[in-house]
Amino acid sequence: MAADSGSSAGGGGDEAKIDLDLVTRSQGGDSRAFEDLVVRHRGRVYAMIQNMVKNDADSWDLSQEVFVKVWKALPKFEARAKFSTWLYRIVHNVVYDWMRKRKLESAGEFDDELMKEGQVAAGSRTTPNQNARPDEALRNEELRTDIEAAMAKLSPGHREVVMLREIQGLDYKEIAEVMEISMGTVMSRLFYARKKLQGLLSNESGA
Amino acid sequence: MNQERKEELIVRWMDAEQLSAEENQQLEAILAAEPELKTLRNGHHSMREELQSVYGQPRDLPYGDFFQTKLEQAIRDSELEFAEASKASFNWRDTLRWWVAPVTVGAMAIAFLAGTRVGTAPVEERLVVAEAQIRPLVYTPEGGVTSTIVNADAAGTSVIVLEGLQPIPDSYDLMAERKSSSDRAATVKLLSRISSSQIF
Repeated sequence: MAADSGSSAGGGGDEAKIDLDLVTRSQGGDSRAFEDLVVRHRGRVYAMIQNMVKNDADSWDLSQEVFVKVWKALPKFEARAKFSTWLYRIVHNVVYDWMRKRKLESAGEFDDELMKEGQVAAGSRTTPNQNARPDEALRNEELRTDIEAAMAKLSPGHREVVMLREIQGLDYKEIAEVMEISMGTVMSRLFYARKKLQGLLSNESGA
Repeated sequence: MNQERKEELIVRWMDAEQLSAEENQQLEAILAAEPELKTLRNGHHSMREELQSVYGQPRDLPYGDFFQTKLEQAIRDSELEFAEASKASFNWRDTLRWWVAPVTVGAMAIAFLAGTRVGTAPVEERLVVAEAQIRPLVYTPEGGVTSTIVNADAAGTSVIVLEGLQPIPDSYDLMAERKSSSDRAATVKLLSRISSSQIF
């Protein structure tokens, strides 16, 4: 069983090849290959969703929903796009459907009050295990808290574009495909999201 | 330069993308007007590192094994549902199959014939005028009074008979077209006087 569920996200050449191999085998009915595919990506999918919906239980359930959809749609997957790009598109659709159902989204923005309620505590079980020195671990936890607080203040669209670009490493075109927006909108969102995030982080660290 | 183009250039410059000579010139103009963008770019590099350190580290979702087990179950359930739905759908179609084709052909033929008839039959353009029958209505303010209208077309006269009226006193003079009912040439004449009805 693959265990690199959090490895390099964007999916470089080797990563994409491994994905493609697993996809091909899954399409041929190899359930073990599909299991490996899930294990490779479930950590990133969960992190992505968790960062969007800010709730552990919902993120877990939505991750399940994503992979059920992946299983159903896998026979139709063609290797024109990277598997990771296709997967993030499913994540995007599942999360936005969920947000629509929950009516959390209002004119493209989260309800700030709900966001505060759903704030993930620093050091919760979703945080990675770190064998750092206590002072370093403490600094990392502070950094995580600051960054998560700042990210929570971004709109879902800005948060997603930051996640896809800065963390998952997708290129502009892939982001446009995942989010089903134009390249111009991708660039605009990146510009304003970066600007706002920097401002928020400087406030958080200065506070 | 429009805003969209400007934002695209800045983002690509922040990501250290290769810019053409023309794009570099445009960028320099932007930076000359907004020097604070250099600070934004420097800050972006450290911000990206921080984001990577927080989100980019390998981690799995909680209860990974349970996740797999539950996912397998969910997939089995969805496949079962799909199979049942397909089976039901197949049975329904199967029962229809023997008569769908002839009925479809028949319906098409009828539709074609109807279409040709409706489409080619000349339609007489005629104006249908409904004759308006004007029924005279006599309003009688007193309760119990009924009216009857007698048309004497040959004479060009109409007679209104009111039943149930109080007798009209002699002093009561009817006027029409500025003439009194007592005048000989009056249009309206009091023809007779019965105890309970008057004829005009």
